[in-house]
Amino acid sequence: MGYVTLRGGSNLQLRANGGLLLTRAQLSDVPTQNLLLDLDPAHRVFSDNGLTLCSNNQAVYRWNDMSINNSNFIQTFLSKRPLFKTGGLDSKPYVHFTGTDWLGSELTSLFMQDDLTFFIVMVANSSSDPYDTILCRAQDLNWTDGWNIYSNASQDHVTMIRDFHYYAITNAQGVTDVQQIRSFRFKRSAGTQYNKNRVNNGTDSIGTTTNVNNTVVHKTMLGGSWDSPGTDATFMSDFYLYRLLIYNTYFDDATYLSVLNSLNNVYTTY
Amino acid sequence: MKILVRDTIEEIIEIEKNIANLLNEEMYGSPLQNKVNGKYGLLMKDLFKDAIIYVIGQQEYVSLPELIKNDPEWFDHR
Repeated sequence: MGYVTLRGGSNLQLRANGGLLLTRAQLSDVPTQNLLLDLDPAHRVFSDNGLTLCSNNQAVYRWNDMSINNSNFIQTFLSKRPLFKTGGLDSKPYVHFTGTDWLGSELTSLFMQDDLTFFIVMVANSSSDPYDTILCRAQDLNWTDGWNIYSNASQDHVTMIRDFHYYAITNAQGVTDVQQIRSFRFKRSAGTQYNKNRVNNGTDSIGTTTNVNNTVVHKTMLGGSWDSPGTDATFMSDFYLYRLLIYNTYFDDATYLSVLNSLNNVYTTY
Repeated sequence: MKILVRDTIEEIIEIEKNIANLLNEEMYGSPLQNKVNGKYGLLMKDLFKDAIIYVIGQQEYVSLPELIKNDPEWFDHR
């Protein structure tokens, strides 16, 4: 089926019977100001390079961004594609990263920002090993040049900026087999650079970072860690992804909680 | 997750191409190299079982070893 994205984010889809279907992008449930990326399994998940929407249990070739930035994620290797699933919690669709799958961003510089805020609606499966990565923009084995969101062996939610040796922040609210909103935010535009990390509406874990190097141009990876640029992934995670939002700003506490509550209204996680 | 292992990269690439062709894809997967014995491997996903069996045969498919997630012999590790 043909598929065209219109200005404003709506979709015009050519149906099998030759008719046209206009579907509106549903961004009203979350703030759109400063929105860099919105990956929503209910929209724009394709089994090929943008023509055929995925049906249940099909491998995902392309997952297109719902924001205005067209920050789309793709996987050209068939055996490395995650699975699109229907009928998840509250009958919502999700994408299953099985621990051997990953998607890479087509844009390489969009997430090289001084301040970022992330929200990930997900279910962690119980097979994570240390460093299993959900989202990553770093290219060496010590992740010295970017940021990462990953799990430890206890499924705790860990984030780091620059170097996992010194700047990782563990939030022990991470659990398995339960839908959660995992979120973190970092700021380096302030005099004191710091990194906060929260799961659902719980308490932040707070750390500091110094001399953040966020300047190396390379892909952002979803589902694994790009340890060897241009080749493949490692530290891949097993999880269900229901929504991913990235904002080009460091949200203050009130805004942060407000977005969490907006997402909770849609996904009911706490 | 099963893994197909061969001694040379050429053997793996030929199998990879045959599976991809059957599925009308350009690439099935990127080969892995075992960091201990230097052999080459290709992940075999159940989702594509029919095509894989067509290429390598039922007998070999059922005897393929299971790959442990994050096996340090096959994936980069700290």
